[in-house]
Amino acid sequence: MPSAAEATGKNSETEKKNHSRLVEIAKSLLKNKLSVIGLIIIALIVFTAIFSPFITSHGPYEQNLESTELAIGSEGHFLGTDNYGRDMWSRIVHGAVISLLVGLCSVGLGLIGGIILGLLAGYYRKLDGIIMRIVDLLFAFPGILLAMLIIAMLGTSLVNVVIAISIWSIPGCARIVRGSVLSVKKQEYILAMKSIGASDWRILFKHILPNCTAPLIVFGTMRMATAILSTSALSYLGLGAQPPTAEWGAMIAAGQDFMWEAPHLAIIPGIAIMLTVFAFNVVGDGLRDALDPNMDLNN
Amino acid sequence: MSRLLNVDNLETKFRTADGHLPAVRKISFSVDKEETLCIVGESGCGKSITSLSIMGLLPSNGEITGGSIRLDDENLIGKSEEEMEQLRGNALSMIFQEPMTALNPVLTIGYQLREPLTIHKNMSKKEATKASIELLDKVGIPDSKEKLDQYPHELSGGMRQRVMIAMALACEPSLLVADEPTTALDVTIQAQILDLIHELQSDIGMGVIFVTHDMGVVADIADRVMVMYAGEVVEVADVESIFENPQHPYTKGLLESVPDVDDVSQELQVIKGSMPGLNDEISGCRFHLRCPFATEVCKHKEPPSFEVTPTHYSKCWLQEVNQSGQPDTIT
Repeated sequence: MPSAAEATGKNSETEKKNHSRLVEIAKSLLKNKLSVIGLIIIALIVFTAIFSPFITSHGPYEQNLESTELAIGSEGHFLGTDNYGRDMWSRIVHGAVISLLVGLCSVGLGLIGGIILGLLAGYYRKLDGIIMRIVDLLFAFPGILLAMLIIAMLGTSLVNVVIAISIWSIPGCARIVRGSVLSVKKQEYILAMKSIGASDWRILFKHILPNCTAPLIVFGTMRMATAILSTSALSYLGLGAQPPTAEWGAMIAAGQDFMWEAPHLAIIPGIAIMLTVFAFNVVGDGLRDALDPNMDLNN
Repeated sequence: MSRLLNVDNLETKFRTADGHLPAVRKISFSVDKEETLCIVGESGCGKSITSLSIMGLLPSNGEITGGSIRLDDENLIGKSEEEMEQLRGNALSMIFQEPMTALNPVLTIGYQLREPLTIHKNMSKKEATKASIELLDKVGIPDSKEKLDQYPHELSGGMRQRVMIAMALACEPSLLVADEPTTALDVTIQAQILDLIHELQSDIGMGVIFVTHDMGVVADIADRVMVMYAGEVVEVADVESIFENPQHPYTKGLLESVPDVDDVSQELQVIKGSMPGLNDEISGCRFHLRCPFATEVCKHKEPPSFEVTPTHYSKCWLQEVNQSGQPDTIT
C-alpha cells in the first residue's frame, strides 16, 4: 500500500533527523579527551557486567580453601583470590553488575520522583511552596546521613539502599526541573499550545518536559557516579549489601582485615569504584559542555 | 440577527500592588461570520488583553470582572477550564505576534502540528500526519512532507507564521483571533500572510479579530475597524468610514501619524502626550488630556457612544455638537 510505504519512509527519515542531532552531540562529546576515556571505561564496565558469565572462569561465591589469598597474577586467578579462595576477578565483575543495577534503579527512580515534583512545583504556583519546602528539608540533611536514616528505618538490604539513594536524588532533580519549568512556561509557545486547547497534563509532559532533557541527562550521569559511590559507602559501613555478596564496598570492608597479608583484597575493589565514579563524572562533565554550547569554557 | 461573536460590556482587571486595575473598560463589539474586525490602538490600550479575554488565556493576575462574551450564543465567561479546552483550537483559535517564539524549539513541526488534530479530532498519529501534510500544503509551505520532520529553527519567520496559521486552523475554527501576526515580519512576507489569512477565511467562513497597530494592514484586511484607547472603544466603523470620515480626534491622530511614502514634504503629525497608565484616574473623557479639541464638558463628563451613521459610532462629545446642527469644529 502506498500510504504504508509513505509512512515507513517518513519514519526512517524522522530517525535520520533525530540521529543527526545525536551525531552533533556525540561529535562534540568526542572532542573532549577526558570524556572519551570515561566513555571507554563505562563501555568496558557495561560489557563485563553484561557478559559476566562468559568472561569469568569461576563463580563469584565459589570457595576454594586450598588456594586462599593468592596474589595478583596467580595461575588461573589473574587478580588472585580472597581469604576464602574466591576468584577476585569474578567478584569484581559481579560487583560491577550490582553497582550498575543499583545505580540505574536509584537514579531512575530518583529522576521519576524529581521530575514529577519539579513539574508540579514549577507549573502550579499553589503547590510550589509546599513541594519546594519539602525539597529544602531533604536538602538540609547531608546526603549520606539521609540515606543512613532511611536505611535505619527500613532495614539493611540492597533494595533499601536503592530506595534511600533515590530519595536522596529527588531534591536535586526537582530543583533542576522546577527551574526549567519556570522559564519555559512563560514562553509564547506554551500559550500557543493552550490556545489550541492542550490540557495542563499534555503541556507539562509533552511540551515542557522535553525542554528539560539536557540538564536532566547531565544530572543523571553525574548522579550515577554519586549513587555507585554511596552504595559502596553504605555497604562498606555494613548498611547495604551484606557479606558474602560480591559488592565492591562490602569487599573492601571484608578485605581491610587482610591489608598486610593480601592488600589486593581491599585495593582492587577500591580501584574499581574509583574508575567507575571517575568515568561517570567526566562523561557527565563532557555531556554538559556538549549539550549546552553556551557553557563552553574554552571559548 | 445572531452574530458569531458578541462581546457585551467586557471588563478585565489586573490584580496589582495598587489594587484591581481595569485594562479593558466595559467594551462591547461583535463579529459576524466571514467578517474581519480590526482592533487598532497604541501599545497598552488593551487590545491584546481583549483578545486574551476572549480566548480565556489571561495571565494569572488578570480576570474578567464583568460582561459577557458570547460565541454562537454560548457565554464563554464562567465556562470551566475543561470546557474552554474543548473550544480552544476547535471553535476559536489564536495566532501570535512572534513566530520566532510561538513554536516549541525542541519539538518538530510535525509533532506540534499533530497536536490540535489529536486533541480535538482523536486522530491516530498516521491520520494526523496525513492531515498535517494537507494543512501545510494549504498554507503554502513547499516540501510539506520534509518540513514535518524539521525543527522550528530550520524555518524562516514567514514559514513559521504559516505553520502557526496551519495549527490554528487545523480544526477549522469559526473565530480566529490574530494578535499582530504580521508585526514581526518583513513587508513582503506580511502581504503574503495577510493574503493567506484572507483566503483561508473565505474557505472556512470564519470570523477574524485582527489586532494591529498598522493602519496599512487595516486598510488591506479589515471589514470593520474598532479603535481602542486606554481600555475603551473610542470609535467603531466600517473600514471606508474610518479612512474617509474619521470622527474621533484619536482616530484622526492615528491616521495622521501614518507616514505617506509618496509625499516627501509631509511632516508626521504626532499625538502629543502618552497613553495613560492603568492606575491613572482620569475624569470625563479618557482622551481629553491629549485631545486638541477638548472642551470643558470633556473634562467632567464621560461621553456616550454617539451614532454617526448606523454603522459608525464615536465616543466623543464633538458628535453632540455635530448632531445638534452646529458647525463641525474638527474638520
